[in-house]
Amino acid sequence: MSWLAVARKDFQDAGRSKALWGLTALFVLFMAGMAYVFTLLGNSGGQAAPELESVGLLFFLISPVTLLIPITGLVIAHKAVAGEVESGSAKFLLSLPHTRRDAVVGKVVGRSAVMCVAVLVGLVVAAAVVLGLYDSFDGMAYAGFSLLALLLAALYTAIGVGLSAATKDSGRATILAAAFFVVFEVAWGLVSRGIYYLLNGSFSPPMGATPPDWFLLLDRIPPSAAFSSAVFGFLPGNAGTVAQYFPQDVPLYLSKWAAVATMLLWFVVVPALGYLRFEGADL
Amino acid sequence: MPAIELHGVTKRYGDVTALHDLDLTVEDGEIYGFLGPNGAGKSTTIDILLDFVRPTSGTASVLGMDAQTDSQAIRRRIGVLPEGFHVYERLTARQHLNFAIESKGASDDPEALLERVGIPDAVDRKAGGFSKGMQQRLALAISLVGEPDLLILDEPSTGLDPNGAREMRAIITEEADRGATVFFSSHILEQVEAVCDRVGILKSGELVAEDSIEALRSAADTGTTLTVTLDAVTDAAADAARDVPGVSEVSVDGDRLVVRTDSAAKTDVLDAVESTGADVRDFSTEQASLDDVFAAYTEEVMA
Repeated sequence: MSWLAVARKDFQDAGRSKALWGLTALFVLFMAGMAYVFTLLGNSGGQAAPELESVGLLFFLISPVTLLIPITGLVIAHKAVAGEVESGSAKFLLSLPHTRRDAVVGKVVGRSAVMCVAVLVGLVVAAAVVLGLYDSFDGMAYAGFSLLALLLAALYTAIGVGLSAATKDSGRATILAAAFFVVFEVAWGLVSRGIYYLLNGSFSPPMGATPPDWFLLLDRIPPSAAFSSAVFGFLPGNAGTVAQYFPQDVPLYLSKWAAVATMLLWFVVVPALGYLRFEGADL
Repeated sequence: MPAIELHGVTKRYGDVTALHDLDLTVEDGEIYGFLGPNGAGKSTTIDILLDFVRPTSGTASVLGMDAQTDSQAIRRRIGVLPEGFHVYERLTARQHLNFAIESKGASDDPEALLERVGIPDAVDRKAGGFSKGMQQRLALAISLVGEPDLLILDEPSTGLDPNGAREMRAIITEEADRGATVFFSSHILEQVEAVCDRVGILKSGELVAEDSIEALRSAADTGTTLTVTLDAVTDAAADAARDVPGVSEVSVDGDRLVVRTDSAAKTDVLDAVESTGADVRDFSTEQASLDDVFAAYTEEVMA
């Protein structure tokens, strides 16, 4: 349980920084702000005020959440290991009886805890806004969305730590984190569309046609896309592309559970790869 | 069982060989001073003992365990003061020590440890505000957690004033009296002289000497330099000095003879010079300093 000592120390350390407070304030402002903004949007339709319901807010939150959480997760985690190796505090950490695996696992847990605290506080304050201003509050849906958002926060923090463990240079760790974000969150659409172009001579399936399964699957691989797919899958309302294309039998690999599994894989794979690099390195 | 044992350890970084076929044994219970100029490979050796760095070839064992495969078990039983140590700036001295105590499953009192290293008042201050000397004292306190069987101290006097360095040596002696083995590196010989049972001198990745300070001093052949001022220096006087047993070198500098000799032969040299009819106006002797001993090994031996 040596990683627990590392995690606790890392949480103490990060928790004493202004980062935790800044981050918490950011998520409170963001989540509660969005919950409030959504009430204005709902009322501006001109029709006799539609019912303000919390599930609508959750769908409304998906795209800003998938922008804010990845960025903040990578920012607070990407120097977790490389920064320590570069400054020399890793020498202190690893002089004590911690394996390098304990160090990486402890950092993943400690930093994820910091990130999750900030997100959780934001979600709770937003829930208060919903309870106060909305006509209905679907507690189950809100809790489910919250769990997925926390998983996204933890997995992006884990990815940041994993990338950080892969290099001894904190500048390079920043580049790795930025590259990861650009590839998986900004440019990923080009990958599926590029392959589709090579196969079919056009960039996307014609309107109305059902895209091939691999195309749908590929689009769900990035962490935030897996998060969105899971949210669409678990929340009531059959929203999302997969539900459109497969009204009945959704293939297993495009199911909501596959989306959750994808998220869990991200949570494990990148830190594991980072750890392997770290284990083999001379410090 | 030796506390530290290195066999044929070589470490290469690309084209640079940091350690070359190093054999080193530190016996249980001794205080071993690991000397050498900066860049000689001292830190690389310590990094290998801690498994921060893996040797290109050779084996290293600590307390009878393999430095690579049993590293965690080793680190449970040793205390380390690393070089280039960097504190967690936002954590207090107490939090640093509690982390070490928890990590080692020890039961030390943080305040007692800080008292011992001379900074008891800093216990609840954040380490980011510490001076270099205070950080070094905190690091020493951390190394003492859990009564380690072996202390590995890399340049422990870094950042300490002379008084701090003296306190450091006192703690090293106390730990050895408790039964701990102490292995510490330094690039300054004076610091190891007072406390070490044995010293090893590392140069360019090789151990060039290993013995007690006294034995090294005599073996380095840096003896005594006797300077004799004469009314007139003659070849006969120089030859007479050269013939005295114990004299290793005689040179002429104006009206002075500069004689390298072991200290016992001093009066013999003066007698021999006077017997040639020369008039000794003045003479002075100079004992080889430890720096000369160190320099003799690190500069000449390898040449």
